[in-house]
Amino acid sequence: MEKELISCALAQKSGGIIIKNRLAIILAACVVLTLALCLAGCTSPTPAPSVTPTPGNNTTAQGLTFTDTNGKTVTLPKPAEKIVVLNSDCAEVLVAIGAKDRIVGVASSVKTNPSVGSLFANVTDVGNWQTPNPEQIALLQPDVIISYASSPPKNADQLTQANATIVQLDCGNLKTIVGDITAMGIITGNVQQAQEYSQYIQSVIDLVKERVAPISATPSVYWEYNKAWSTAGNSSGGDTIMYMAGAANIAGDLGNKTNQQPAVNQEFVLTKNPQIIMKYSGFSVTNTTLAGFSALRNDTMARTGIAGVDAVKNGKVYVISSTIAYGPKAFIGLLYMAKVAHPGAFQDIDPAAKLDEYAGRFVPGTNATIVFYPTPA
Amino acid sequence: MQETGESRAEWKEVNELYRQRYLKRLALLGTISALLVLAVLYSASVGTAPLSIGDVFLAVMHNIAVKTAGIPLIGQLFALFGEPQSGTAEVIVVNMRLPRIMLAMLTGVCLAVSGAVMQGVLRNPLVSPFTLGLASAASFGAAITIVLGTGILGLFIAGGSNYDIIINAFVFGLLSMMLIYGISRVRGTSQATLILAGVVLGYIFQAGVIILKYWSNNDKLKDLEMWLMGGMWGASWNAVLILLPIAIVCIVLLALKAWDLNALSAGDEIARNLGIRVERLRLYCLLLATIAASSCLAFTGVVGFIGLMAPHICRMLIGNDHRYLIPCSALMGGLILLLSDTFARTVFSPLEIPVGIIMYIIGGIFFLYLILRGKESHIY
Amino acid sequence: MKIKIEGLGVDYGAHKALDDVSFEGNPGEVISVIGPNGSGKSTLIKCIAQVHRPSRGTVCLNDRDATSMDPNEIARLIGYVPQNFHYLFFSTVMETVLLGRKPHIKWRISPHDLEVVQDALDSMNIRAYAGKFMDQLSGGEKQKVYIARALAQEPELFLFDEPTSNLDLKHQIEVLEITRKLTKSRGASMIVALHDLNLAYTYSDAVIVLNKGRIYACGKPVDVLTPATIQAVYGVEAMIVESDFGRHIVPLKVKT
Repeated sequence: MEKELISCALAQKSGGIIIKNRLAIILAACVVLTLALCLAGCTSPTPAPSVTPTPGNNTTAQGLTFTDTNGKTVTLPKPAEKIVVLNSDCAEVLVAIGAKDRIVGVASSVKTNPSVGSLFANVTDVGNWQTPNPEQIALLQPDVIISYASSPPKNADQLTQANATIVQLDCGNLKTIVGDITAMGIITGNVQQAQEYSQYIQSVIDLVKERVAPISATPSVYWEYNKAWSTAGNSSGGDTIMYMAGAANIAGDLGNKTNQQPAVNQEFVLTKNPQIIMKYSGFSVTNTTLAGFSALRNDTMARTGIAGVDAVKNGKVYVISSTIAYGPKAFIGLLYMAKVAHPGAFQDIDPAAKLDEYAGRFVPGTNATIVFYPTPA
Repeated sequence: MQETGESRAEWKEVNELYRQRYLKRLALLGTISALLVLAVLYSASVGTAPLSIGDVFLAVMHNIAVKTAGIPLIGQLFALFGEPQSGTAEVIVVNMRLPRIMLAMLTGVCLAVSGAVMQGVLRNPLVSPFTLGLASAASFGAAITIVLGTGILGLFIAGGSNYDIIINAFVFGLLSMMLIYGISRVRGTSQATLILAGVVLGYIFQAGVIILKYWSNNDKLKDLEMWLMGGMWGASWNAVLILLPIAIVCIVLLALKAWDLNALSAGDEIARNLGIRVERLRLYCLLLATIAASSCLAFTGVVGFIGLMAPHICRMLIGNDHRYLIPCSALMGGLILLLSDTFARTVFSPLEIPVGIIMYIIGGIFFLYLILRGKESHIY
Repeated sequence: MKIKIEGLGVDYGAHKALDDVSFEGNPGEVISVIGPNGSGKSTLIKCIAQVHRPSRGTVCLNDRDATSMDPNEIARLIGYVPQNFHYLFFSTVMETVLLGRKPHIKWRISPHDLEVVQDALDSMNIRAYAGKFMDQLSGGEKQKVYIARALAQEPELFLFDEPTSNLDLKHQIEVLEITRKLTKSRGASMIVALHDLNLAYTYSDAVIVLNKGRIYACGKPVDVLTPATIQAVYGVEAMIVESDFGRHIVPLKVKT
């Protein structure tokens, strides 16, 4: 009897070992599988263009070389004849440097952009900006597909089948806009126009810098994006504008490169007591009218946590359109910001007139909608 | 002694009955296979680019001819067909449409089989890769990569496309299963424990996804939402070549357990009496089903309902015998997802709808129908 | 089959569901297990079927310790029908009975397997339903299908846990008569948990009376099923009535 019991116990034990062995085998299989996937990931042809060292001159024996917004060096065999643009800011730059006729396809979101969409009414729609239609693009046979640097297309693997180079350019942040425009000049071969255009923008940036430099006061600003309490974190487009305009971003030490719109709360804003509030207005159609801007401003001012701060008491709450807060026209946003922060130093500057001048010289129609409310004195 | 009015002589011979049912099932499998082949042909011939069926055919033939050019006879045979009229036809058909068709089918097949097996193993018709928290876990893995920009294996992967997202989603899918396995080691593998553990883990991972959503900015949020909606944008021959062996191995191993699954559907006690090691079978099947499902989900994002719907339809058509139910679910899953994806990419061309949304609509309507059918549908 | 149970015990925490149960059975014997609710009848049957692992003691089948046997080997020796079953929605009666062939096959169904299934269906008089789905049957019909499944398993030991609980009077008698006849003709054994004392009395060769997990009495029905035992175990006064058809137990009233 006892012997039997012992044998039973042994049987149980070995059973346990078998189970453990199996588990080990299964685990090992998982590891092998993961490694296999890993290898496949490493060895698969990367859709990104090949990387070569940047020479002084951008025309080399292999072709054209430039740097994208992410700092990566890209080489093209020749200036692009046909371009598909998924990014409305880049589309605007292409128009400004006289390369509109090279654009053979744009994303739906470019067509619906309130500022520049009407310019592309007759250009082929290639679908969603995140998942453009690969077949449509294959039919268009473009040399280059320009996408956002911050959010490249999901189906890049399929797009590269169409033999086009995907170029990641934002043309959004004031910090990088001049470099991005230069890259656009190289891509299209319109280097001269690109230089003129970027110099025009640079001159505004320089003007603001020059006038802000001697002023020691830095009024504090709370910048709010579409979502309530999502603010402009470190190195975001809004943060750049505030910094350049000599204003202090109350959330300047929040956020990082991957999270540029950190969420704060009522207490944070109340404690910081900003002197100016900038409310960002997104793309939607209702937000492009005076009534829309005014309603947005009233809603923001009435919100608990904002109602008591100095900015509201002094009526310094402004609505800024996304079309001038980010993108090639961000320098207009910069002018408005500077004028609001330092009214004395920018008395003679009229941002609206500057925008009219821009529309006349570079991109027609961009001054058609309201971009800032209320107009600073 | 007689139960019915019939006399003994009228009773059907069992072997006759078995043969009838066997033939009926074979016919069903044949029909669905034929439909699948038709769906593939249809899907290959429609799209944003207006290609003629002849061009589609020539594109495929020409591509094979180029690939087999070195081989005598076969190469020459395919070379007879000549080239398609438009040069882009070959790129569009061979490099865009075919991998996408393959990915949609493979995903449908894997999700449907893993759903069928999970339902059988847990004897619950409402169980799917989603109920067990797998999708939430994979979403969380993908979300970490999208929002924070680092995968578990981020260090090893230089550049590339979205492989860090794929691997992270896969690893987290497996992790959810490992956690459920761990819980079952402590609390036993009764269906209630497993299902409850899955649901709870699902909520926890979902909370993780929501936190990441809250932290992320607009661009990342759109990326993440895109992934959560699920679509066939990751389609490429690379993806197909990775998925195909995983799918084949998992499905064959699961299909070999068909008899054990049949026994299990009669209840744990009867299954044990029929010589099944119930706990071991349950974990073995769940693990394989998880590998199959999460490897697909990793490439496509969340595609819901297919793992619930395809096995359900098949059970109504072909019965509960897993020897037929597993292949039938595989074919049905492939068919439904391929048709849905073809619809998704053609209906608003050139705009695409994520196929995940279509699956939610179809799945919702299907289950509404089941609820209205009442008790017969056996969903409760 | 020769069965030898020694010192079987099952603990649920501190509660002893079964304690020190030992008995032997010989080929061709029908043994009933009776006792009030919660006395451990189902637990005993499950332990013998190797569905439940006992805390103590051994089950020997044909002089071999069951715990050392391969599950498939046990499956060919024991056919067990549990008390509860509510699964198998989309399976036909034929497929359910066919499950009994599982321990004997690898993948393919041979004509012999189908013959065995047909015999099992015929034995239970349910071949007329062979093509019906399980959820179209009544509770009693389902129970007969499950017994047919155990028959198709061709085991040497039948373990039935209250096989007559869902059946009407006629079918109760029918099922017990058929299974007893099959047990005898195949030289198998049958251990059956029963509630009905008269059925236990009529159809078994030996009766085990369980009370609070222990064997209260064990032996031939005529020796065991006495008014004294019934009063002690069930707390019910009963009398034994003799008629032309045999002895009958008539419960009278709850003992106060």
